[in-house]
Amino acid sequence: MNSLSDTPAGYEVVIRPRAAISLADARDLWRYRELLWTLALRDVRVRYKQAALGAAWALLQPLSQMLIFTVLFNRFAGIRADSGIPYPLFCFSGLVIWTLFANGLNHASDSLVANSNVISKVYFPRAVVPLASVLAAGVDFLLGFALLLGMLPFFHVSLHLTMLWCLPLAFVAGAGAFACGLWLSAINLQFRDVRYALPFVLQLLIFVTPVFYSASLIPAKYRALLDLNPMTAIIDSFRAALIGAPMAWTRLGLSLFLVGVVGVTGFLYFRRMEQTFADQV
Amino acid sequence: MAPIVEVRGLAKQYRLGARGGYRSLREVLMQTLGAPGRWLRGQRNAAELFWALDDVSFDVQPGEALGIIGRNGAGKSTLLKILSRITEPTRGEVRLRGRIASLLEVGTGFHPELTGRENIHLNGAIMGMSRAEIRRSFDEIVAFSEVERFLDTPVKRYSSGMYVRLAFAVAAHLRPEILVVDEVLAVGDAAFQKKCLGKMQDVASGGRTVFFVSHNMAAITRLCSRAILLRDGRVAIDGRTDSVVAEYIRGGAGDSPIAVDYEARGRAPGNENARLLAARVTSPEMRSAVADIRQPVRVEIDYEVLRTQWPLHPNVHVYNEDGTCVFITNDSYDPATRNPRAPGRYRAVVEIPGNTLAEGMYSLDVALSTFEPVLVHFFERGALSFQVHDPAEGDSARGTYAGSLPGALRPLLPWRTVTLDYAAKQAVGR
Repeated sequence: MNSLSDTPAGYEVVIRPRAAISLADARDLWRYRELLWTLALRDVRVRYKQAALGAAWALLQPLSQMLIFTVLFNRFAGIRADSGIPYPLFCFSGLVIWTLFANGLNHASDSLVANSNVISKVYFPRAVVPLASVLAAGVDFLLGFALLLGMLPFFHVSLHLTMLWCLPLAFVAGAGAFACGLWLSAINLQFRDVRYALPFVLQLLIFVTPVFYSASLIPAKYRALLDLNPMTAIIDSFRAALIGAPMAWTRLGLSLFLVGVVGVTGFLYFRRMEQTFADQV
Repeated sequence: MAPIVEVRGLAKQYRLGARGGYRSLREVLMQTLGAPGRWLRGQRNAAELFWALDDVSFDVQPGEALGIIGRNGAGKSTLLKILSRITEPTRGEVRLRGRIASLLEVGTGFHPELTGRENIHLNGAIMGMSRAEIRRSFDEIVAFSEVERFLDTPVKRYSSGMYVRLAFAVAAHLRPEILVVDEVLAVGDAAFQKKCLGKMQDVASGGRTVFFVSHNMAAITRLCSRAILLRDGRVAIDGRTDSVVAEYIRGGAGDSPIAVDYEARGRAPGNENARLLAARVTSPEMRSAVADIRQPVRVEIDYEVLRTQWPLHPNVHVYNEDGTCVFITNDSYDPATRNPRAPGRYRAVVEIPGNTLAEGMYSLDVALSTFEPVLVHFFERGALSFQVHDPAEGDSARGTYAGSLPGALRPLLPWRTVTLDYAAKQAVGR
């Protein structure tokens, strides 16, 4: 046995009925950052473990979607990309960041249920679980983003410094997935309906998000409605950053605000439900 | 030195009916739409509240081994769940001045698709080890687990023995200051149990603190110097292990006595046909209410027949502490029960053979019935109670096995083995 010196002398944990939100939560999350990383790594590893193509699946999904959308919507239906980006590039860039949001949210929502055996036996801040799922989706995103950058020369788009904005934008999309994931993962524990409804809702959501069409296609009077979807401004800005066009800062600000509201309320709800997780799973 | 664990006024409330599985959204919507008024009023009345723990306080000093005992539902598991932070208390607080880990969590978070190596890292992280700590202990863990050759094989291909060894190896290298062992003896084979107990002794003698929860009084007495008896979510006694265990065994049988004299009490249950005078449980060498598992338990029912009309069958219903009816026995054995008895006093006696009931508390209903037509003349629910204890001297059904043995019955059955294989016969002949 080792000596007791592994644990710092001042170590003290106080267990008591907790307030809705406190600094202790943030400190706890920080203390468990290594677990967060380990869980994300596990998610990535497990996902492609017995797949012959492995991580290539992370690219195949947006690539095949791009091919179909290009043929159907661009060639046949005549949908055009705006701001002068070639349509396949337009579509793929939208899909890469949309996939980050959609997969992140999907995995996060199911994460508590999928990890119920751990949750009912060991303590750690539960928010680590959905956050790790979003991080794992972030790894897929990085692969897709690398491919996107590799595609640029073929479409005669040169590299700019503004492209660096893509990463913070991806961070916002991930934060959005985490914010919604806080809500849905906690609800999913009580109502497994979420598991069935979400894939279907995400399928619908891609149509009210300018992923494969441009927002300018929508009549002006309805466009404000489209902007209520935080992903609209994020995707638009992502593309603008890619080609060095001006960013839509105000709309992006609104998106950030919405993500923040969903995130904070989601965390409050998550904290409230957290007390009963172990009794429910 | 400050106590390593301080528990103050700890309480946990559960809502009965709110637990158990998930609800679908439709059910909730239907309930809400069906009775909107109830929903508006808060819909709390449907669920029953109960306190699994109620105002529990105690201190534990570093290096102390504390036994926690009590009947099922006394709050032991809830206490451990709060200590290990799986669930939050409703009131009160706990101060832990060291890291806590539980041997119950052996293998928690193991993922079948991942290799042994990956699972060591994953499991270690879930159990609260830092990556540096895992790296430092990695070789030791691998050596302890004896699975070096399969380190890069997914654990789904492991035998269950390899799986448990690997899981235990990680747990053994956690080095918590506070170790929780909850009925760990219920899992694994004898060798594994020995390893666990050995580990616990190491931990305790190494100046660390151990919480040990078990129904195995022998193990508790051996390992812990101090024990806490929980009863209905409260600390009933806190003191030296032997006295607490003695009290648990004596008082544990519940509120019912081993003998009731209804006649003397002036309350003889019954009807115009018959009434119950007295009931009692006896067993050879029975001390207080504790019967030796190897000895028969006698149940006696004294009753008075008031009117000769129906054939009367005395019967006894045996319940264990989980509330399961272990069996019901009635007297149809004696041919005299087929005919109505003359008015007068009778004593019905039945003997439950030794080596039949498992260890634990039992509650008896005593009754007198007629079968054609079905009539119940008296029925005393929970009239008597007693406990069955196994001193584990090697000649009971448990043999030399010292761990926890599930099952409602514990018959001592005549096993035999015949030799089938010629080579084995040769070896025996030699």
